[in-house]
Amino acid sequence: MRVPTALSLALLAAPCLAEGQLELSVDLRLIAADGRSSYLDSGLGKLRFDEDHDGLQIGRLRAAWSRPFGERLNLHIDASLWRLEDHNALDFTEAYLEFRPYPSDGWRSRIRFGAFYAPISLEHRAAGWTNPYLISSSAINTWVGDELRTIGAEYSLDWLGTRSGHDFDLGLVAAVYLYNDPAGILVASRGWALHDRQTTLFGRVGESGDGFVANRVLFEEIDDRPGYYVGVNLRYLDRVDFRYMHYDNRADPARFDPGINDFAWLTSFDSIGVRAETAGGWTFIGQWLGGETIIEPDSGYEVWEFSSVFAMLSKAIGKHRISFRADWFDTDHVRTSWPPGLEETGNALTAGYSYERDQHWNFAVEAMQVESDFSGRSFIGEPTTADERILQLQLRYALSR
Amino acid sequence: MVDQVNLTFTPDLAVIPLGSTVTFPNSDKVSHQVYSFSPAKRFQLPLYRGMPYAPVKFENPGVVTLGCNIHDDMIAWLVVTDAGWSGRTAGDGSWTVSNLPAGDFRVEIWHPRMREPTAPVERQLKLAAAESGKLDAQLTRLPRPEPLGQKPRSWGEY
Repeated sequence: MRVPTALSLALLAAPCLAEGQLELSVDLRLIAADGRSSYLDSGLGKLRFDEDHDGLQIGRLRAAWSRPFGERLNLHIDASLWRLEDHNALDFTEAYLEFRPYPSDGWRSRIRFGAFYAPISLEHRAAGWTNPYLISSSAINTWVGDELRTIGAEYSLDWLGTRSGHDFDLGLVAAVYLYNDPAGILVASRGWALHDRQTTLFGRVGESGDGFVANRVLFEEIDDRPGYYVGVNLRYLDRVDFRYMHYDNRADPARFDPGINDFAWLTSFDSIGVRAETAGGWTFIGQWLGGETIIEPDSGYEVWEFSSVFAMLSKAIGKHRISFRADWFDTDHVRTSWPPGLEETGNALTAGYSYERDQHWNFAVEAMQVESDFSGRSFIGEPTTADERILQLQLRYALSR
Repeated sequence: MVDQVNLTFTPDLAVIPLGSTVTFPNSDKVSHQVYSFSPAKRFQLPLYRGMPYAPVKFENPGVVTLGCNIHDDMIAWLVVTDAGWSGRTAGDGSWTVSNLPAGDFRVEIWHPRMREPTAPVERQLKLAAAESGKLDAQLTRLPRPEPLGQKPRSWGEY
């Protein structure tokens, strides 16, 4: 979205902060990485921090504000800074108004209006759409944070069975949105990635401007056609959470916006995920996501099919947590007039430990290895295969009032 | 009193006499929004911290399921009863009552995991003075699993 940039801090600095809840956090990293030049810096590396970013780095600076208006309305604004050099460095990741009426005979409606995350990820449970298990998200949900945002309205209807003596709760969700026409460009032209950065509403991806992924705007309306998603959520007690979603941005792939130098990418996918927890502190999360994205330049249809799956196992022992995750990802350029096209296969292994000392201090360490074979690297004169590793130490301080 | 501590109702189940009142203080730093849509008592306590509201009076017998409209994981039960003697059993199922005369008793037993979620099962029991009796009732569903460990305060709903 190309909207005045001064907006970024104006709301947070407003005097009405006195009401509601303010959250601030500082996340610093110590990085040792041998990754290829990152897609954020003109390369096609999969990591947020490549071999040129060893040492102390900003992980994330975050400020969020929630304020109820009366009984049933709540305003939530979330802003973050990921790197000082970024375009609109401090910018919103989410900003929405939620209408949350009381349940009636076991049924409850909720309406969200604004910019927010679709309920796809089962990993991102902590404030600010943060993954509390590992520093870096799965390939699937890294992509969700990279390219997707609901900028529109969402309605969800829950049947609260556990409140009337049953073992299950059932939820249905549907949304209509605009400003997500570029979604698809990253998974097609960059391939999958694994990190914790989220694209901000007025931000860019690939700031330096001359790389394969250069100065991309992700949240823009190009064809004036709204997209939609529909989903189902089934919960067994508070133990098992199953989610299915179908997403379709209904973009017109023939439309091109010279202002952002991009097509409307017709992107649709299905996602299925499950999270199971035990009283012994174990958490399992598994998710599959598969879909396609299409553009139609003058040379003809370009069609990519993409899919990824991951499994994560985590064990909490008091304030300590150990987590492991395996990711597999694949993109097939099934129809192209640009041989060899942009094809990818890859996998990643991630292991992490975290220690939540108290409500303020959190320490985490994570090791990740990403192996990928991406044909797009031949266009920039690199070998198509890459074996990238990163070790991160994270220290986070959070304040809430 | 049913308190709210670390995003959990405490106690999670209480047996109260018909016509009694219950306060719902919120000891958490975050706001809660307590509700029940159980037929025995429908009520809502708008978003609050601390203890801003008058006690709630329970004037109909039955099971009242409590929830929080902000935190869907929070659940608790109040059993409102007009029985002459009532209480919550210990973890081993035992329950002791003093000053009970000898005689024939109708005993109602309820557990959140019984097939019929709002109606107790009934058993007959004949007791002499100072005697213990034993009643069996079969739970038709697995006991609710142990509570999950406390979630970090910063976790939300996504």
